[in-house]
Amino acid sequence: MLFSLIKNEIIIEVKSSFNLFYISFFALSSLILLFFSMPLTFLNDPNILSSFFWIIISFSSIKVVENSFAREKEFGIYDLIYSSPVYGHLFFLSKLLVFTFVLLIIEFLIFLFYSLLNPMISISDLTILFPLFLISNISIISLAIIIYLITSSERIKSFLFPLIFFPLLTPILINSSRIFTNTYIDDNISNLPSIMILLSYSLISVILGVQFFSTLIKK
Amino acid sequence: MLSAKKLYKSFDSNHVLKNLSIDFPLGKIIMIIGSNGSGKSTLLNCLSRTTEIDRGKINNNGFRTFFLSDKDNVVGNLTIKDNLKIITSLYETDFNCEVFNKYVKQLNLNEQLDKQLKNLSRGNLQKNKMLMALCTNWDYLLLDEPFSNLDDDSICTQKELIKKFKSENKTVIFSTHNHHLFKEIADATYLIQSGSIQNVI
Repeated sequence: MLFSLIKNEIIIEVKSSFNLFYISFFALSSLILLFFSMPLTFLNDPNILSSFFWIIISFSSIKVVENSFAREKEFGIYDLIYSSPVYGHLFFLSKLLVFTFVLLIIEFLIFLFYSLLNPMISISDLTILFPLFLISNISIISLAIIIYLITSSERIKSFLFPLIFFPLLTPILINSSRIFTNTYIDDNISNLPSIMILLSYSLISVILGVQFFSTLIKK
Repeated sequence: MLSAKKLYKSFDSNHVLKNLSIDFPLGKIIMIIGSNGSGKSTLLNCLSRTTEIDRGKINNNGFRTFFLSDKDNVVGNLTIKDNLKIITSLYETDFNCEVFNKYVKQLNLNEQLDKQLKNLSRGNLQKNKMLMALCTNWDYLLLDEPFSNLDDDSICTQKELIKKFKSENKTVIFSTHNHHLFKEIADATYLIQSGSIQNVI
């Protein structure tokens, strides 16, 4: 059933009015803004490149999650999907996997742009950074889904989604950025405390999502 | 059978359902009527478990429910077929192209097949809801205002299809404001008033 749900999410994502294109366009626009707003020497600073990278990813994650639920709510298929006999946690996992993949595509595009911008960054670094992207994306998306569902309930105003999401996201962004910078300098992933924090975050957020998705969706 | 026992549901201080108990046997057509805001949609939402109840118990005894709310129940960017494939996969039904083509013809949706659902008229979207019900496995069909925006011919077709469901020992529970139009097909009519329900016919 999980594969079937993943297939459904992909079909909806692909056929939804260039959704992926809009998000990629947003990511690239932010990069171009960075390129034109900073002196060229700053663009060699791994800290700046890394922080921009994760800020763009966090904004993109909000759009990916919001668009997905908005599509389901727009023409009212939401009730039909979530009243089906499928277990709630399978919906959560299917969304998590598909959106993680969407973020990976965006990360690849940003990285491609970085490699054009800075000769010290090469595409081959992607293989080293792939586990970091994967773990960070899982944490970010799980958290985004949980916070979106909490803030989209009848009693809470939806503008609170980014307001609650960003403070909770900060530890993920700081540690992802730290690992990203270290990798840029040392050419390998070597920051154990940050890796452990990221792993704990992703594990906790996935467990919370699996446990509470069904309850939150009915609110 | 599908049953609700001592059901309570409120929205802030508005107590919509109060101590509501009802059983829905299989193989029946059940009409739910009531004024605006009386709780018809809330009852259907609770029975389908799309809304959490405050107190009480809903028991479906292993029977499958299929709830079509008063919204369009589609993903706007998909076609009728793609949308239906998603729904059938969720309700553990194999998509059968032959059955699909047969009902598309019966519901007169042939010319709408290539269009995105967001471009369909309200009436055709209503027909698409019936098509989803026809191509999916369930025991209880919950319909919220299923006859709005339909022309007379389409209403007749929908009535016939609802009777067909009954002949297959399935139960259709629908809410409507035009009870005089559908009393001929309904086996029982329930009126929701002041949060409680009573059998009026």
